[in-house]
Amino acid sequence: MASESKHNCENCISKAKGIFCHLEHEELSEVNNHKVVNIYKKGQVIFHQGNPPFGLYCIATGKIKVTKVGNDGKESIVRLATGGDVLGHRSLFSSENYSASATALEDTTICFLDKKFIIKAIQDQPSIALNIIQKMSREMGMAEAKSAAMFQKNVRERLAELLLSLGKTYGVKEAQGLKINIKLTREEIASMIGTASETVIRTISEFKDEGIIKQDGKIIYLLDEEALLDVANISF
Amino acid sequence: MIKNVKRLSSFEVENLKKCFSSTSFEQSFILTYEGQIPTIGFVLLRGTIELLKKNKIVMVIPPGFLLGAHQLIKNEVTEFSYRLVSPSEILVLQKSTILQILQDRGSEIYSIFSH
Repeated sequence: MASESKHNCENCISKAKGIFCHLEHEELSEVNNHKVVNIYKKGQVIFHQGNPPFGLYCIATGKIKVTKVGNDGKESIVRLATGGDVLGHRSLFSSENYSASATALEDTTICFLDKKFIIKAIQDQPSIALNIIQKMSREMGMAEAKSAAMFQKNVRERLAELLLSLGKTYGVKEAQGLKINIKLTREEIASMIGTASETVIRTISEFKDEGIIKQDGKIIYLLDEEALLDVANISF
Repeated sequence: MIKNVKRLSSFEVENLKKCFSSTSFEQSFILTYEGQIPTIGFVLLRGTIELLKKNKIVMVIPPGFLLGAHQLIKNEVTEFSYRLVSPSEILVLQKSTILQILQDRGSEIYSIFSH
């Protein structure tokens, strides 16, 4: 069937970035037999903070926000995830409840594999474990950088850094600049850099006035990445 | 009776408990959305589950019912959203274990999943 073929791991457009990228035909067919593929609509919750994990979520297509609600009830975005990324791995392996929630930012196709299968697959194919470790290491690096930026950088620098990072992950080259192909509200951007949405609006206006970025509705275009790098005080 | 929602005898529930572990949920939670394939099958041990269609409650399920397992095995979407409405305890039925039970055939709980 067409839909089955579309959701076959062999044909997955995110296969090269996924944790099963090294598997051969036979092993991939085991993954196919055990996985559950679902499309989550924009706004649907994939898992909730505080609930127990039952398996691993592999994103085939789409975009997800991972959010954490603090003691004050405020929600902040911990990270964004897209095709090839996995979700729920930390809770799964630490046997802790989810420390954050995952919500679809757009229609998103996700494959779920239960814990028992994942553990057996890792035992049989250590490359899967290596790929998960690699992803975790990258996430830890990003979390450390974010945490350091909160103390060492001002809002202007943090926003510039975030825009560059979003451009790197979601950027699409267009004639008018690098289009950041993800729609985030000002509140979501504010929660990612630890500031108020009013400050984000003001700083975005400054960047626009300086000709560094432009906006078309919720879509942001990076017009001058060099200038943003200068503001962000980093080098990629 | 609603399709794919199966009342289990206490004997069957006790046998399932030997193969699967249970988990407590402290808050209301949607286990499966209408139109999706469940990621787990489950038996409610404590609490209540609401079956919703287009956000309207179709049925309230008490403990002792098997839900989602058939769709999980067959990769079929559910007609309803399954929402936990109170602190609940569910028996979590993982697909790998169900497939193993169906493959081995000898288990006492084989017949629960084979129909």
